[in-house]
Amino acid sequence: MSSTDVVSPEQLALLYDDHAPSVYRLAFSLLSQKQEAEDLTHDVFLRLQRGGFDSNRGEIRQYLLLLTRSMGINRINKRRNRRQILERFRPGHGQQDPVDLQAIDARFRLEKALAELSAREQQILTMNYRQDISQSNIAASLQLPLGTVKTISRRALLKLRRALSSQEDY
Amino acid sequence: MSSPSQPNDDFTKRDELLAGKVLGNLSSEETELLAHESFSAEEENLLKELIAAHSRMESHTAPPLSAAVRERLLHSSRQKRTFNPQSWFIGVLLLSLAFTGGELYRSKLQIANQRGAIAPIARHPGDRAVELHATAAGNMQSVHGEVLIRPGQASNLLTLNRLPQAPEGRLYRLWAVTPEGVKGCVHFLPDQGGNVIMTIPAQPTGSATKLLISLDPISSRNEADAQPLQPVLSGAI
Repeated sequence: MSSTDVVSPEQLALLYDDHAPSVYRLAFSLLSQKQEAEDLTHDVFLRLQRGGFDSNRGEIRQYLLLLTRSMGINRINKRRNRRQILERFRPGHGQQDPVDLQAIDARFRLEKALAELSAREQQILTMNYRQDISQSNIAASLQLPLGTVKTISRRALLKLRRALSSQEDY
Repeated sequence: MSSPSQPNDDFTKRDELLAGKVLGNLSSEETELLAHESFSAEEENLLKELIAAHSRMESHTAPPLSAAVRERLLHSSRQKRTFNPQSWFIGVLLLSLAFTGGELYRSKLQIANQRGAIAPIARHPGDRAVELHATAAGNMQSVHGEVLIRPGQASNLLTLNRLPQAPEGRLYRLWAVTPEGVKGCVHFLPDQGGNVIMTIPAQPTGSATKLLISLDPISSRNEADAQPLQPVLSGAI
């Protein structure tokens, strides 16, 4: 992708495969509901297709995460507004859940830090943390020596910590 | 479209051991090695940060993403590029609205121009417009008209729109009802469009309490004591 061109369905499929897990994780951490997070993921990629991304201005993962964050906050605000209206007519209908912007930003930063890892490192961390697969099973699945999987995951954690620290310093 | 890889050869073996301790993937030899060593303050700090990153990763989980989302997205993305009757309908509707709006605007301009042609005389402060209304007998509800009384000017102004053509042998006439009696003013006929615009003498309309327009026989023009026979419009001052 070169600039703000409209993305073809074929390009979109490739981009989705590369970045959807990250977008979805952030969406889920914002909205806490699987269905809503999936809808948001869908909408983020559909927005991408319209051509808002300019590759001269940054990485696509960063762009998608920023888009997810802002569209997610919009959804939370809409949800809050609906509840406020209901509350006006039916007192005691629902409690307001405050938008925790700090928590949202912490999750956003974590996804940004993950985006700095190599594809292999992300894959191994995802299998380890998200899918709860043991390192020996990861090694078998990826046909890598167990020692290599251990080394990659240790270095990935070290990089992750470094990326998070640099964001906080920034 | 993979993310850029960072150089990873700047981590020491010791850093990697500490990461392995946090991840719980140390071998028995590595565990033994670390068990007998104390950590420096810098290492303690690194360990603390690694534990924080590790726990953030552990809590940052989500249920599996359904494959249906991908299918839905690709379906939506293809739909956007193919014929969408709803979008076309909305487009045609918007075009029609724009066209109708343009026509309305054009008509408005035409009407404004026509009005401008009919009433080109500018009003002055103190001028007073006496509106003329259809009388019950006249059956001329569609007629709009007024006499502009212009104090200090040599003439007043009569304007009428949509006035029906006078029947054969008849004329329209303006009358002024004054304290001294009903006095006949000008005779007139409308143009083909039913419009009348004419200056009239300042008197007797200037001192009238009421104005009348009647449809009278042509022969009444020469009668000194003529009276309005069939008033069709009137206006009180």
